[in-house]
Order: sequence, then structure tokens, then C-alpha cells
Amino acid sequence: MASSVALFVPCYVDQFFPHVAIAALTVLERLGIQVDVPEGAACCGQPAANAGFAREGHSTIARFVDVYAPYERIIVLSGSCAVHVKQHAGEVAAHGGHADTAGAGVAERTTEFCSYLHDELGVDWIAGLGATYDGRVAVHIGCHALRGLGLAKPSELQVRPFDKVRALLGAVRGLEIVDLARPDECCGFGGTFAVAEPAVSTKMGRDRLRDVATHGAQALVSTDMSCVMHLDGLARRERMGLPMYHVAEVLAGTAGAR
Amino acid sequence: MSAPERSARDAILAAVREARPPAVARVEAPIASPTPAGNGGISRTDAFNAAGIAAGADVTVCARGDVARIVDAALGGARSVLSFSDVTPFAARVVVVVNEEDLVDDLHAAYARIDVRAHPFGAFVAGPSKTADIEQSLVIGAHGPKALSIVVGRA
Amino acid sequence: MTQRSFELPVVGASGRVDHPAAAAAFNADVARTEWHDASLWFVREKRDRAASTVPGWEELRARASAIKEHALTHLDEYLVQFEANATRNGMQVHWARDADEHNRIVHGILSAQGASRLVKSKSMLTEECGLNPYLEARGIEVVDTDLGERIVQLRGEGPSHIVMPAIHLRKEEVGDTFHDHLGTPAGLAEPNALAAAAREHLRQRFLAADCTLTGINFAIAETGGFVVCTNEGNADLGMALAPIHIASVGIEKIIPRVEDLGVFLRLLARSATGQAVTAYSTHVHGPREGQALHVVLVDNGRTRQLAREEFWRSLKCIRCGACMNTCPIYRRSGGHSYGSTVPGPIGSVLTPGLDLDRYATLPFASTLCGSCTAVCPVMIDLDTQLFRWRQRVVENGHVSLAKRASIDGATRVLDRPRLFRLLGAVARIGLRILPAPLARRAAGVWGRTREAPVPPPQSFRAWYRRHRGGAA
Ligand code: SF4
Repeated sequence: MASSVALFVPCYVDQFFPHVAIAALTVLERLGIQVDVPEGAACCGQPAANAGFAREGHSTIARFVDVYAPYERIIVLSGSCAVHVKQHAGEVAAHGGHADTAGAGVAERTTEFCSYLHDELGVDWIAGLGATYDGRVAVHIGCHALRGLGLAKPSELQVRPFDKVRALLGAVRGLEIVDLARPDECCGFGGTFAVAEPAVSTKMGRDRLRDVATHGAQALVSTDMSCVMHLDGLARRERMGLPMYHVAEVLAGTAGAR
Repeated sequence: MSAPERSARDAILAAVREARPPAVARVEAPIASPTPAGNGGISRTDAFNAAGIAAGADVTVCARGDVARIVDAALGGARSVLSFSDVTPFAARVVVVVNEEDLVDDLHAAYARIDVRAHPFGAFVAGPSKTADIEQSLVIGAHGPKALSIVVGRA
Repeated sequence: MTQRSFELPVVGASGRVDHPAAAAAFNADVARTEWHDASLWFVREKRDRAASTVPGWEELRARASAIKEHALTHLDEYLVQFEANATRNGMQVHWARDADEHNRIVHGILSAQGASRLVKSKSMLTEECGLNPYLEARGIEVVDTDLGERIVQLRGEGPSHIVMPAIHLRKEEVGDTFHDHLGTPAGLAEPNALAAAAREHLRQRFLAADCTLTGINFAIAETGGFVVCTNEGNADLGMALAPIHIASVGIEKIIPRVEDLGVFLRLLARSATGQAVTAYSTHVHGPREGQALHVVLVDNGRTRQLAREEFWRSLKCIRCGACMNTCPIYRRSGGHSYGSTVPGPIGSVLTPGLDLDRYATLPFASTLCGSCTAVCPVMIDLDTQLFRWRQRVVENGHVSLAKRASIDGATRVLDRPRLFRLLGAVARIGLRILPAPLARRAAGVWGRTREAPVPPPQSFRAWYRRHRGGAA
């Protein structure tokens, strides 16, 4: 076994947003975490499963379990992938020399990037990064990260307010967060939903962007590049000029550097 | 019950038994009613008053001896008055008279005190008849009473 | 009486509901879509404020869920108990396996008494059963007395929401309908005036009715009584006047005890409209003097849903509509786009159980954002159940249907070379995670309103190999 912490970079981040993965790796390394990015599992199987093809996607998540089983901690750079692994890796039964419990173990040991920083390293340690960002941003937490992983209090629930993403961004000097009219409205990506229901998906994205723009945000910071891929695609088509970053880029100090 | 209905009954009950998911036990713990402190420190009467106003009723708290006079006054301006019986829905205006000591904190307490079986027909009335079915605009008096007044008599 | 149109535009020649097409048609009118979305979001926000005033709201939800799970897992016992107590209270209890049996029972009660004028208060069950057209075809005049229901009835439509049936209509449209049917002045669109006209019109129907039919919100096994909740008081008016009262209820509406009502009534209206409680919460424990009171217990697919290990919890639903109000897809596609009696997230979970082929697109009309699950007063795991239905759609041999449901069919854009190059990146990535035809179609649909991500010079993996010395 190599290092005990692995970073999982979902395929679309690997292909389209390598700078986000580099930023995440940089942040973890600066915080003194030795991280592996093992080869052999490019996808967790979530897109196929959400489209109704969980059975077909089963070999994908089985491979994920194979590759990540040796690690003590599996940090996923996407809220929705993390939720998928946590909910479904346990369904991977014994195969190829792995014990029946390998999948359940992987599910248990999987976390998401922001959750890991907040829950296991703590905001004080993050402040040690000395990140700065000059500007007003809106925060978009992916729905699965929000309600599936509990990154913040969803607006529906009547519990004490908390927001781990804001807490992390609070450690960034100069960064100001604007409030939105609908704090956690879905952006309309939803995996294949974006192409299965293009009319509603597009409207949801445009509404989200309007909320961001009318509240004077100069940029959007998100926990999920899948939401960003959709929102940024809409914003660029409409020439909004609204840059979008992953939380990792802000913490690494590379937001705005591109 | 007709023969076909009896067989429908038996078929449905058999299907329910067949389908029955694993038993979930009943939770017996009582639900805590709000204490005055939990209620923002206000009294039960004030809480009732606020809730009544929010629901569109006018609530008057007065000395017990004044109750009759106030109800008479209300009657003077209304076509009829009724409490919890099946004539309530016709009235243009409803006045309910209640003793302060009969106010309770919430529905849990209410159900613990009343016997719903005692009358074939009994309603919790919370404000006048209303609708928001046209563009979410609140309209008072969709069918039943256009006003509800509650007179709380204090000993 | 206007014949109701149940042929919604969303149902294609195949007889299948095409939610994406109906949603696209709805969105073609941007102003209406935004107004519809804003109206429902307003209700959702009222719900948030109402819930925030209740200390222990989340515990209350958990308790409501537990009561319902207990009741549903002992449903046979509670049904029998309800029947015995209701009978003792002087009610006549009927059982109907399906919609047709329900309709025949209702018609039988009416014809036995020579009744021909029925006033109804809100009952989604009778919508589900298609009772109105059934009775109208047999010469019974049926008048829906809930204002919203009456509006859509006069228009020959079905309700687009289970709590706010006419939420899809502007007041001017209601004004036109009332002008045509009730003779209000042309152009009159002021809600108070329109409601006053409806009040007069319906008051006459109430007085003339020889039978009333109501829904039931909660049927209490312990006492053999039931509760009907309305804001308008229309159910009460019908019950107080008509010599025959028929109450139709799905078998899942049984709760064990009176004390359980405290839990449900505190949740219901707050979740539905943001009110503390509905204006009328009426408890019926027997007929008025001289009145005949019938209760019809209806299965119509409920025992089949109860038998489904993955979906039986959907029967906990108390029909508050909160999942619709919060659903970002429902708000932007309208209730009619679901082509089913119950729309929105809960409709997309209940309706596929009736006919999976016909309703195969509904489980896909969601981003699985989970907001529905978080507002639901009885904590139904709606997003999980939608996910499971997607798997069932594929497994039960509806693969091509699932593909069509998960990727919109229009692919014209693929013929245009520049766009195709631009979208090559999306297609490439899609190919890694989806079957090939899906991926290619996905790329085309994506590009209609969105730019594709700009492919970087190298992938993260390539960077990692160079900078971190090869594979781990
Ligand atoms: S599923 Fe839940 S939120 Fe939706 S209508 Fe039913 S009870 Fe209300």
C-alpha cells in the first residue's frame, strides 16, 4: 500500500477541468497530506446509474472499489460522485479476491473534498494556507453535496444553521460572499437530465445565473464542476462574463489566475 | 354489504396481508407541548390571540361578565352566530365564546381534552372561509363565514 | 355540463406521457413559466416560515413518518377496526378494488335514492377514478365546489396541482371562463369579484344538491370517524345540507388513533400553504339526523404499491403538495405536463406503479436534487424512489424508452459540422460514461443552449504523470 489517502478525480474533471484537480492536489499537499491519485478507475458509475443503467454501471463501481479499497481515506472531488459511492459501493459483492465487505468499507471511507477539509482538518488549519481572493462571490453547493453529504443546512430543514463551504471560504482573506434570493435552488444540471429535459434544465440554469448576477456577485464558487460545466456553458453562450471556480481553486489561490 | 362488495373487501384485505411490509412498531412517547418559555415567553392567551389574528379572526379578551354584552354586540351586526355544530358553515359571521381556562397550548393538548366521538360533526375553525385559488390572492368568504370573532372570557 | 378532457396534450399517439415535450411546450411561454415558478416558490417560502415557528418541526416529521409506517405495516388490522367502528357510528362502509368498482358503488348509492345532483369537495381520489365523466355519462350533474376545482371543471381541464388546482391559470383566464359560464362581465378579473360570483353560483348548487361527496384526509381506526380539511368550508356546507354524504378514501389514509391527528394537522397546512392549520378541520363521526353516510374504501393499485419493497413508503403521503411547490422541475413545467392525476415528485413515484410503460418519462423528470424529500412532512425518500424507478424502467425491458427518456430525441444539431467539432469534447467524455448513441445525442442537445467546456491542452492525468512521476 502506498500513501493512505487517495484523491478521486472524476472523468469530466480530468478531461475538462484539470486545473481544478491540480488545485485540489496542491491544497492537500500544502496542508501536509500525502495524496495518491491511483490509475484504473476513471468513473464511479454515477452517470449511468442515474440514467437508469445501474446494472450496466455496476462493473464501473466494482472497479472503483478494486482501485480504492487499499486506501484509508478516499477524497472525491465531486459531491454527487461522493454520494453515489457512499450509497452504492456497498452493493459491490465479493469478487476478484476482495471480501464481501470491501465495497461497504470503501463507501464508509469515502468523503468529499470540502467535507474532508472542514471535518477532518478544520478551518483553522485551512486558514494556514493564507489564501486571498479579492472580490464578491456567490456560492453554489451542488444538491447532492448539500442534501446528500450535509455540506450546509438545506433551506428546507428546521435545524441550526451551518455551512461548511462558507466556513472554508471564510478563511480566505478579501473574499466576500453575497446572499442569493434562493440560497440552494438546483442549477438544473442533473446528469443526463441536462439533455433529457433540455428546456427545463436550461431555464433552471438561467434562473440560477440571474439570481447570481442580480445580487452583484463577480464570480461563482462551487463544490461541483458538473454544475459549473452547465452554468458556465449557459453563461458563456449568453456572454455574461461570469467566471466560475471550484472551492479548491480559491483555496489554492489560483482562482482568477487563468 | 352486497355479495360483490363483500368479495372486494375480502380481496383487498387479503392483498394487504400479502403485501404487508415488515412491521414497524408504534412510538408511544408523548410529544412535548411548548412551555411558555419555548413559546417566546408569552402567555397561552397571548399566543392564542396572535394565532387567531394570523388566521384572520378577531380575538377579544375580556372579563367574564362582559362576554354576554360583547356577544350581543357582535350578534347585532351579524345574521347569525354559532359554535361547533353543523350550522356553522352557513353563517355570514361566526362568534365563538371560550373560557380562558379552556385555552390549550396546541392540538396535542386539545385532542387529549376533547372527545371527538361526542358529536357526529365537530370542526376546528381557524378564521373565516378563504381561498387563494385565483392567482394566490387571498379572498375571504369563499363559501362559509366571512368573519370569525373569538371572545375569550377571563374570570 | 362540460365534458372533461382527459386527453392531455402530453400524451402522444403511442399513449405514453412525454414529459420533456410537454415541459418544452410549457417553457415556450417564458413569462408564464416565470410567473408559475414564482407563485409556487412564494408558497414554498410561506411553508418555510410556518415550519420555522414550530419548535421540534423535524421531530414532528419523524413522528408523522413513524405513525404512517406503523399504520401501513398493520393496515389490515386498522382497516378492519375502522370498518367496525364506522359501522357502529352509523356509517355504511363499502370496498372497491379499483376505479370502476368505486364509480359503480357511488352511482349505485345515487340511483338507489334517485339522486341526480351531486356537489363535491376536493377529492384527488375521484379524479384518479375518473368519477365525474362516469357519472355525467349517466345523467348525474356533478359540481366541484372547491373554487379552483370548479374553475378547471368549467374549462374542461384536470387540476394541475393537488392543493391548488388552478395554479396554472392567470386571473384573466379565470375571468374569461366565468364570463363564458357564469355570465360575469367581460374583462372582469378581480379575484374578490370572481370569487363572489362563484360563491353565489355554487350556493345555489349546494341548496339544490341531493348528495354530497367529500374526500377524507384522515380516517381514524380507533373511533371510526374521519377528518376533512378545507379552507373554503365547502365540504362542511355540502355535508350540512345534502341528505346523502359519500366520503371516498384511499385505504392508505387510515391512522390508528385520535391523538395522531395532533401530529398530522400541525404538519399538513403548514407544509401545504404555510398556514398554521386549515380554516376548517372537520371531524365526522356519524351521519346527521336523517342523513345517510357512506364511506368507500378504495384500493386502485395501492395494495400493489404496498407490496413493492422499494416503493411502499410512498403510501405515507398526506397529499400536502409541498414536494410540488419546492420541485424546480414542477415549478417550470406545470402540473399538466405529468399527464397524471397526481403530478410532481410524488406523482412520479406513485404513477409508474400503475402503468410503467405509459409513465416511463416521469421518474426522469427530476435532477434528484432531494428538495422534495427534505420538505415532505412524512419524510418520504422521494429522490431515492425516483432513482429506483429509473432502474425498473430499464430492467423491465423499456431500455429504448429509458434512453429516449434520458436523452432528448432531437439531434438536428449534429448535422452542423462546426458545432459538432465544438461538442466533440462533450461527446468524447460522454462516451466514457454512457452508451455510444446516448453520448452522441447528448452532445447535440447540450449545444443548443450551452457552450461546451473548452478542452484544455492536457488532461489532469497527463499532468499528474509528468509532475508526480508516473502512476502511483
Ligand atoms: S409526498 Fe410528501 S410532500 Fe409530497 S404531497 Fe405527499 S406528503 Fe406532501
